[in-house]
This record gives sequence, C-alpha cells and structure tokens, in this order.
Amino acid sequence: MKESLKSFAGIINLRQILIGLSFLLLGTLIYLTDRPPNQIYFVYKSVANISLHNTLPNLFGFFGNSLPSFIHVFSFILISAGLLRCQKRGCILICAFWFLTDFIFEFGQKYKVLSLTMVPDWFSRIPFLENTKNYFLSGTFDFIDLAAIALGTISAYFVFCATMKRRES
Amino acid sequence: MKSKRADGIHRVLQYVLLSCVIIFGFVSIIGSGGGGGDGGGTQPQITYTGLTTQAQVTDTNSVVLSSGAVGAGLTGSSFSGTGAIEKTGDGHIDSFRTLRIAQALKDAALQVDLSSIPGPPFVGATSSGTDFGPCGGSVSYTLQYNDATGVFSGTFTFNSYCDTGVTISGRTTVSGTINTGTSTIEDIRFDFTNLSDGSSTLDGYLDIDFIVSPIRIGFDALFKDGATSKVYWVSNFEMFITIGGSYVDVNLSSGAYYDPDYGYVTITTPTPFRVYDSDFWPSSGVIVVTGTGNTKARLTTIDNTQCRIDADLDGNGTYEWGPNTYNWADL
Repeated sequence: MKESLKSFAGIINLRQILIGLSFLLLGTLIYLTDRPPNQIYFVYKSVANISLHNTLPNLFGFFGNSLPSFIHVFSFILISAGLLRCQKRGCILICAFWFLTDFIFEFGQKYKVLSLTMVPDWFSRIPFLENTKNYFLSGTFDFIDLAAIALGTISAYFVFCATMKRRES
Repeated sequence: MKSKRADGIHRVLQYVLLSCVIIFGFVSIIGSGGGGGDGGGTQPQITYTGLTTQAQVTDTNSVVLSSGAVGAGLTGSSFSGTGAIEKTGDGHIDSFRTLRIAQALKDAALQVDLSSIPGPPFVGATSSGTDFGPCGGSVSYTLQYNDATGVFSGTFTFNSYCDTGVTISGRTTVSGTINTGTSTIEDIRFDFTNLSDGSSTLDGYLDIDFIVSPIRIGFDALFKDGATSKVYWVSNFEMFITIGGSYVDVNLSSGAYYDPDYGYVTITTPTPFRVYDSDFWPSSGVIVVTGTGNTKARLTTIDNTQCRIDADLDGNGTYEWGPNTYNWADL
C-alpha cells in the first residue's frame, strides 16, 4: 500500500498540487473573513457557523474583492496540471480550460437573462447547483475580475514552468 | 505484469481525481461566487424562483404585466393594501415604485455634506454623519474619500427614512465618484441585500449618473412582497429622469420585468411618464411591455386617476384587445 502510494506520487507533481491547495485555502479564508456569511452559499449552508466575518478584521481589504477570481483559476490550473503531471503543451490546454470556465461564468453575470435561460430548472433540486441561478442573478460583472482571471492564468503557467518535472524519455 | 496493473490503477485514479477537481472547481464558482468586484456573491434572503422564460401576453395577464412593470410587482390589493403607496407628510405620494425608490436614494446621497469628508492629506480617512428624511426617519453614512481620484465608498444605513412616498430601512454599501473641483457627486452606486421599503424587501443595486442630462439611473433588484412572499424582478432597468419644477419626467429606455407566474416582458416607454410631486399617479405617459412572439400590452395614462390598457395578443402590431379603462387605484 505504502509502495503503491509512493509510486502514485511518482506520476503526479505533488509540489504543484500543494501550491494549488495552499492558495485554495487562502481563497477560502477570504470568504470566511472578508465576506458577509449570508452572501456565500458554502458558508450559510454549512451546519456550523464557520464565518469569521466581523470576528476578524477584513484581512485583504480592497484586494479581497477580486483576489478570489485570481486564486480560483490559479489553484485549479496547478492542481489539474499537477495531477496529470503534464508538460508545457498540456498545461497550456489546462490553462485555456480554466481561463474560459472562469471567464464564461464572469460574463454570465453580465448577461443575466441569457445565463438564466441556460440554467435547467432541475438544478434547483440539487444541492450546490441550486445556487446557480442566484449566482448569475445576484453576482455583478466586473472587469477587474476578468483581469484577475487573466493574471491568475498567466501566473499559474509561470509557476507550473518553474515547478514542472521533465518526463523521462 | 504487476507493475502494469498498478500503472493502470494509478492512471484511473489520476483521471477520477481530475474529474473530482473539475467538478469541485465548477461547484466552488457557483457556491462562492468565484470572486467579484462586489463579490460575485449571492444573496440567500431573496431568490427569484419564478419563471425566467419570456411571457406571452394574453387577455388574462396583460393588465398584471403592464401595471406590474410600473409598480415593480405590487399590483391589485397588495399594492394599495400594504402601504406601498402612502401619503406622506410632505404631500409626496407614490405609485411609481422604481422611480420613487430611486429618488429617495438619490436625495439621501445629495444630502451628504461633502465638505465634511476629509480631503487632502487625509486620503482614506473616514467621515460619518446623519441626515433626516424630508418626511421622517434618518440616514446615517460613513464614507471614505480619495482626494486624488475623487473615488469614494462607504455605507448608508436608512432608519425609516421617508422621502417621496417611500419609507426605506436597511443598509446599503455605496461607491462612486466626486468631482474634486466642484465637490459634487458625479456618480453613485448603491448595493443592498436587505433594504425594506415598508411593503417589500429589495436585493440588488441602483446606480445614478448625475453627469448626463437627463439623469441616468440603472436599477436591478428583486422585490419580495411582504404580503404574498412572491418575488418580482426588475432587471437591468435603465431610466432617465428629468426633474421639473413640480414634476418628474421618467423615460424607461430599457429593461425587463419578471413576474414569477408569467415570466418576463421587456419594457419601453414610447411617451415618458410625467409624475407631479403632489399626485398619486402619473398624469401622462405610455408604457409598452413586450412578450414572446412580439405580443404586447400597452398602458396609457389618461390622467392621474385613470389609465387605459390594450393589448396585441397575436403580435401583428394591432392592439385588438381593449382598450379597457381602469382606475389607477384599482389596478
């Protein structure tokens, strides 16, 4: 078992995954400290009161507004790339995938009517997905978020390049 | 052989984990808002769960949709029975909720004594104060101002603030720009998640651009009727208001009104509404709501007590249903 785990660790890039997870934790902290709990589905749906809003000061100030957009795309690129232990070309595909995903969701907040018509009604009966309409309806499109997503993608690519392992031929 | 099998298992595990990561990535966007200048955050208090498809205007819903677009959802008994329209101490009376709420927020913003906001060299310092509504209540504000850029942000907390026929309670965050030369507000945006106008709760935003003439107001909000718990949605309303001596002209240039039972209709005012300060209802103006298949309902003001509604039910451009005359108060 131990050996199996060890060999599995050999086919992934653990360092990239850990960096991604660390940033994901940082993103979670922003939502817990800097955002009112009644605005975050994860927080107000949780059984325990996990919000630190108004318990701790706003830790991230102005940056807390768009930092989650940066962190989301940055983290998920690194985690995905680390899991696949891909090379540069693969990483570019992963970057494109997460960039487009975040970009489309952000733009969905600008074109609310169109977005809402594309959300199936049965989503409202599925946990997590039930918040989809609310996400588009209540969220606000912001160009700074788009810039943060682009910056997060580029940063993730550079971190990937710095931490990638070349495959043995 | 054993190694090959292990490799296969690892590969499967790799893709299973990747699938989980992708699913979690999507869910985390939806569940947390994925960021956002104001937060792509979400509002649990009010959710629009009604129909989001475009309504077809029919003989049974033409009155509800056209008058609902004016009253932001409150029509019929709930409109007059819950205190949405109330004569107030200063004689202002309201039926045009989208306009009156905008007016109240605008007036509150203009009441702020900008000279009290710290200027240079106190960039980032806060200023706070309290002003009183024209017909009662108060609004407390806390603002931060950057004298270099003119950008300000802060909060307004309304405590039964009464103005132009509405009484507002609740907290809004504000942001905008001050002209540093003239010390006047150029634009302001109110974001609110739990603002009450006495009969309903509002979640959404309203922004006002004072630079253009007439004044431009953007409004996007959910209205939860306190009496019926129904949620109506005023979506992407853009209106231009011209303030006369004793009246306001309102031109709704675009927007959609969502009725939970019928879906949405788009809105235009071919003839702007004119609402006198002392009147209960508009004295002139026309609003047209358009549904699927180009079906339409048209509400034409006769005077400040009556209006006329007719409808084009087949979308051929002819209003074959009606016109029927209604007392504003009976809608």
